Amino acid sequence: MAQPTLTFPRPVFAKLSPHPFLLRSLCPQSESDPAGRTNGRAPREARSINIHTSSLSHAHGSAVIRTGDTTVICGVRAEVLPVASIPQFRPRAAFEEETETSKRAELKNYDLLVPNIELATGCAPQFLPGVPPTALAQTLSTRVYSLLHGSGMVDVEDLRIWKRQKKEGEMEVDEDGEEEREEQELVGYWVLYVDLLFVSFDGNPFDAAWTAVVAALKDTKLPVARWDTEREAVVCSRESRPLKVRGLPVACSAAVFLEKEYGEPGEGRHWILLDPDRLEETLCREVITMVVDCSSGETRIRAIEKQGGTVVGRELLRGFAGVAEQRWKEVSKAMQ
Amino acid sequence: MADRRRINGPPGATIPPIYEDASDKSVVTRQPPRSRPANAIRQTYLKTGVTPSASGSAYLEVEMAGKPGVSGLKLSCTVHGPRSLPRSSLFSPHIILSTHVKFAPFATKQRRGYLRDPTERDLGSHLEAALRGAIIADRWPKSGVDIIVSIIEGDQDRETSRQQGDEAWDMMNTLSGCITVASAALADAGIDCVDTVAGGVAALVRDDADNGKPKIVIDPVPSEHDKIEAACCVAYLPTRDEITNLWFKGDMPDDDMATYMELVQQGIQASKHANRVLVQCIGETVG
Amino acid sequence: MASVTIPGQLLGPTSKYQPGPGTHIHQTNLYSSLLGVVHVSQPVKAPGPAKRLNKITPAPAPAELPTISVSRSGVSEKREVLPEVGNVVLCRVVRISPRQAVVAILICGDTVLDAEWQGVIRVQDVRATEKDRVKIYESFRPGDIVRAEVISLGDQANYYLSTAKNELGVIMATSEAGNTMYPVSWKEYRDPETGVSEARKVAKPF
Repeated sequence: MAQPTLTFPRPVFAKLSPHPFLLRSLCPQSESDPAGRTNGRAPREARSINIHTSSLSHAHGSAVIRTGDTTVICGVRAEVLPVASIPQFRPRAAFEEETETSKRAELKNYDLLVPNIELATGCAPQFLPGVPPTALAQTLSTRVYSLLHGSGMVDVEDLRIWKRQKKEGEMEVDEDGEEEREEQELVGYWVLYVDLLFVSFDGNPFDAAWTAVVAALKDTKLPVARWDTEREAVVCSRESRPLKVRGLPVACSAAVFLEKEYGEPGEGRHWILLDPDRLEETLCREVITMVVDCSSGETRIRAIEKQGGTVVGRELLRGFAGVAEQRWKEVSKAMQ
Repeated sequence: MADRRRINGPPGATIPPIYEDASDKSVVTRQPPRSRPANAIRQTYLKTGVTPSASGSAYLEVEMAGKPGVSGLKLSCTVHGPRSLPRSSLFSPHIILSTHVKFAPFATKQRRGYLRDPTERDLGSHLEAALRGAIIADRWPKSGVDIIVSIIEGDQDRETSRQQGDEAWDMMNTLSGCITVASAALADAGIDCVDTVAGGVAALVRDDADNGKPKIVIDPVPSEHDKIEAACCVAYLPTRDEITNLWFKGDMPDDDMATYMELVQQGIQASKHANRVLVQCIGETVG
Repeated sequence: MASVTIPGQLLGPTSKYQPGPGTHIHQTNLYSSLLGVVHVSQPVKAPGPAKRLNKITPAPAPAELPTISVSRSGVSEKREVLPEVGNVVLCRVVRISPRQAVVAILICGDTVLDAEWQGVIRVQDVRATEKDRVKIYESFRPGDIVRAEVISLGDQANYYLSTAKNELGVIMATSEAGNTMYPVSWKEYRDPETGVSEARKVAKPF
């Protein structure tokens, strides 16, 4: 009995039965028909990435990322948080040693990094404004938030604003015998609002959003701030200095496509589709994201996230690190 | 009442940077006056099809006025529809238009929140009025169309608006851009329109250089003038010779009808210029 | 003649042409209402099946005038159409009740729809014969792909559809076991792996 689906043109087939549509594309029917994804890519092929920075004039740092039909804009804006406005502010005592952990805790406790993702721009038909942020938008914001803190890209030292004054005629003389020394007092912090706006959405939002965050942070220049005693406020000069960003974590996501749409997972064949598009995302339940950083010369895994499904195990994960490494090279090249 | 669905940042209020020279008027470099003719609009770039998954989309950029700190307008518009109406809505014999205008948080000097504020709602309703006059609504019974304009960058000067203390003039240019970009996106979506609507702004300005004599310019950049007396934003259909929306703001004597009419006329001129860009843009998408 | 027009562009006087899809009349002239390509069809070959009713078209047109229309073909594949009475549509069954099957219309004619328009197949519209014996659950199951004809614009939310013709009915069905089934008679589909039959209103294969 002939399959009725054979008689439909491609777009009709895709709309009526998307799962068999993608499956057929991945399993070639004949010699002349090469296997591939419905978007024309090979399973392990990501879309090329295009990065444009410093295009926004009201933000302190910005980036526009385009990969395929996914476009995201990221703007970083710095605002001053005076110490007086922090309810649980606890200045570090002199004897407390500053460690990497204490610095990270400081960054997190005072909430100095504020990423938010806006999808409700009509970037795809399912994201229209006028409703609260969708579950996806909330999840993405939270994932970016935790990766920002987890990766330690931003040093809290860079965000501190000091009140510096010369202390003259000290009663106690320092052991060094300095007559004059500078006294520092922490008066505030820079808070970085990292706002992301999706202009166009075609799958794999996290990788695109994260790349935009990294590129925008690297582009960020903070004004030089000091304490003005007369005005009793933090004032900035027109000079600015670039924000130091440590490392270059790159996110690499893939979806697992199963041969059987229904039934037990684990049966039948599967395909790992790197950088999935919108159609593929709706057909795959298992998604893996690995964040790697090879900027120090060796590959460091910064984060692994996996949702749904049971295909990706230890072996596949190990192999995926190589794929992520390859992706890191592509993205870091695009960053330059 | 923190919004639990977003990341809100520190509980204490944060302050946008205050620059040491901001209150010192003498230090603020005076923007150079308008260099282009009074009847010319700024260079405008328009492109359709930027959001492939939407029914129609367009991106508009107005060039920077050639000075640092002055941002050009950047707008992205998506059109979704005709689509079915929500189940709760009543039967409608024609298409129901809904417009949303939203500033990106980084679009203006002050960081914008994620909830729509009254300015954005106001822009949305002006935009709806401007488009409603152009769409042939009864071709699409029981359907709806969503028109969403995201303002990526507002037409705003980083320094001057604070001195003038009024964003209203910037809003006029923004609305005019919204109308033009939405019109292009509607054409891209294939929704029947009687004409291509485009927005234009004209303003009555007073410059010290002209000894304070008022004059009318189109597509005004507030920072280029000492004072803006009045301005109007016009949405105009060129082949029909009809105005679908008129927004007038300012201070003019009530006996000066001639100036008022002239201002509207110049607004139409500005709209015609924008329309030329629009027609060229959508014409290019074919072939 | 094939040239590109934009909305509002003058196409000609009403004394010379009849308005087709994508055009409108203002005063005594015809204008384009879409960005698209102009087509003029001579009255000899009656204008093909219009994708949708043009509300502005005067009812019976004087036959001697050629019809001018603007089509989106060649400009953009993306062009939403509204289901019209008499159109054959492909739809997916969303849910069933004893009185009707609710479907999402996916394809109208040859056009893949962007939006999902909802339709219903009422129990009396499932087949032409023995209407009072029809049971919805013996005709459709959620997930089935159905070929149907639009019979009415319906109420505010739904188009009314009918499968009361031999070539209309279920064209693709999945069994309870999750396998694609094939039709064995006018009222049955069979799962090739388990051999179990399920009742459907089967469309006669072309």
